[in-house]
Amino acid sequence: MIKINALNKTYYSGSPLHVLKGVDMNVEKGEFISIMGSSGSGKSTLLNILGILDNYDSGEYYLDGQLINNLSERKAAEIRNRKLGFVFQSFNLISFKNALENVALPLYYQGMGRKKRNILAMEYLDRMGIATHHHHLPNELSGGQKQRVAIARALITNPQVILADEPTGALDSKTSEEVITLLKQINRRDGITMLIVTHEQAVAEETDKIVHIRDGVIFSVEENVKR
Amino acid sequence: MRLFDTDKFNEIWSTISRNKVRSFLTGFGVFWGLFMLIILISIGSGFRNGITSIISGFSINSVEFWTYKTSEPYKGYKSGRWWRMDNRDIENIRQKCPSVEYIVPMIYGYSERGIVRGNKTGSFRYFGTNADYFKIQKTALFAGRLLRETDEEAKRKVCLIGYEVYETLFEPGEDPIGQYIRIDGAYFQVVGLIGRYGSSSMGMDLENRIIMPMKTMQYVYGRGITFNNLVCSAKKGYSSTAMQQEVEAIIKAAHDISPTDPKAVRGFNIEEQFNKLMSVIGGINLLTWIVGLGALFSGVIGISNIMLVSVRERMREIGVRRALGATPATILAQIISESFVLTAIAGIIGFLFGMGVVAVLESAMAEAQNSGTGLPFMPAISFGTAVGCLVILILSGIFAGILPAYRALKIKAIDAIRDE
Repeated sequence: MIKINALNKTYYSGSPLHVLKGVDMNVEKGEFISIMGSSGSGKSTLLNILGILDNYDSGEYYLDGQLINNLSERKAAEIRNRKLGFVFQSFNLISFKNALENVALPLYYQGMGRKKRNILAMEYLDRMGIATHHHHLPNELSGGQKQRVAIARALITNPQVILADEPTGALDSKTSEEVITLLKQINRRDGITMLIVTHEQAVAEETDKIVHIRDGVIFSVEENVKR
Repeated sequence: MRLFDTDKFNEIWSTISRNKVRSFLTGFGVFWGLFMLIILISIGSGFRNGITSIISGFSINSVEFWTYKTSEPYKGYKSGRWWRMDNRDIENIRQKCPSVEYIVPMIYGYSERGIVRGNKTGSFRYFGTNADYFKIQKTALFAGRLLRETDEEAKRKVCLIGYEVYETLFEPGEDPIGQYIRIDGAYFQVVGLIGRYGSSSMGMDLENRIIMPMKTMQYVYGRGITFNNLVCSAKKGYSSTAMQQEVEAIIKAAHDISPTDPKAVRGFNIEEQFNKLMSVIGGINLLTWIVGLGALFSGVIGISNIMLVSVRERMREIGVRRALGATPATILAQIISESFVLTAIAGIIGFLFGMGVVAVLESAMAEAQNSGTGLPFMPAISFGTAVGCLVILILSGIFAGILPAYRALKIKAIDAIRDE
């Protein structure tokens, strides 16, 4: 599903910062993987490149067999919309839209009609168990509820890969557990590939495989036997 | 992609209505700009319309002559001599000056309570002229006929009366044609009932005048063969300025006045004055456009500015939209649409307000004009100008969005979403 070879990325703000120094990684369809590393290790950069939110300097990145390199903004937007789903630490819900509208937004960018996408959005909110809160604005929801809305939004386009950047970073431990369980259920049931960047051991331990990044290279890959 | 769909409009409207006070204040700049533009343009064209309406009905290529005492000695005459034009001048000019089309002499009189019919009396001005007068000055004829050449040749005692004269001397509904009225002791038969043409007329108001054949007036009131003023109009294709000089030379030669005398023959060239006035008005109009567009422009800059602020505030939101699959074109369209809708709403309200005020002014001025007390000022906006203003508005709405939209495009999803 995801195949990267010798990926390099340097940031040129002030002094050059070589963040990724030849990363190789292979992710099969349906895998449930966590990426761990200390801050500055390059894990977020890697996730951004995987999410086509950022580009890379050298190497290769194949998503679903398609080489992702120097795409036009338009094409990148389309791939993000169709194949990828994002879950962020700070949820990034649009504050003036209610839960239903937030979930339906990716479908709006696909050009789907309002009725159809609202029905779908309702369905996904229901799956997340927060259908009753569909008309609430983000600031009327708890952290866990917000993240559920965000997950519903990531899932609604039926993507092949979900990229989650510290999805539990802003949640208490009990809610964190619920969210991870939810992500796991989705992975198991729908076979959606999932990459979770985290620095919480408890979160990583729930995944099938833990990729450790240190100083811009993959330091070790740990098959989670505990599972 | 449909030009208008509810989803897109909801997106736009939700962002505009989210900052109600800010949107209102920003929109007010554009509202005021368009309002002022409409008002100023209508004032500018008001002067033009006013002057045009005064001149309407009067041949603009004509020159009015009158006499003044000589200022130079000539052929044995001392300077300071009083003199008058007379009937021979008319023939003279007709023969010697090919550029003249109509020659209209005017002789003036005023009767203080000397206009009598039965037990009704009135005080009115009257004047004698010839049939060509009506070729130069358009006149509204309510009943009867205008003067004819034969009236003058036969020195007929006939007259035309203005509407006010009719109201003073006749019962309402009474037919004045064929009736006799006494003017300073002499009886004249009324042959026509006239009024002003259009909203006003050059120099005099025909509503309260009596017009009679000039030669009749000279004969009845012992004026000899002299008259007061002379109006000549130039033929098509001839310059009124050249004609004025030719006519002046002919008159001076006939009355032994020095050709270089600057004061003896006075002339008022209507075309020249009109053109001068029009160029001044053209300047005023230009100024009103500059000021009006300036006001609108500063409103537009206000919108552009606030959109820039709004784009900055919404960096994260825009980044999230990009991550969720919004294409650059979508973002561009959204920002430009936002500024466009805000500008358009504010501008159209300003437009309607302005048009409303102009309409009120217009009707007030028209009323004043009809009652004869109006100023030469008729504010109005032509359909073409109004459409032009709306086009300017639409363009400026789009213009206001360009810079903020460009700024929004430069936002990278990653920078916006990053939590650090």
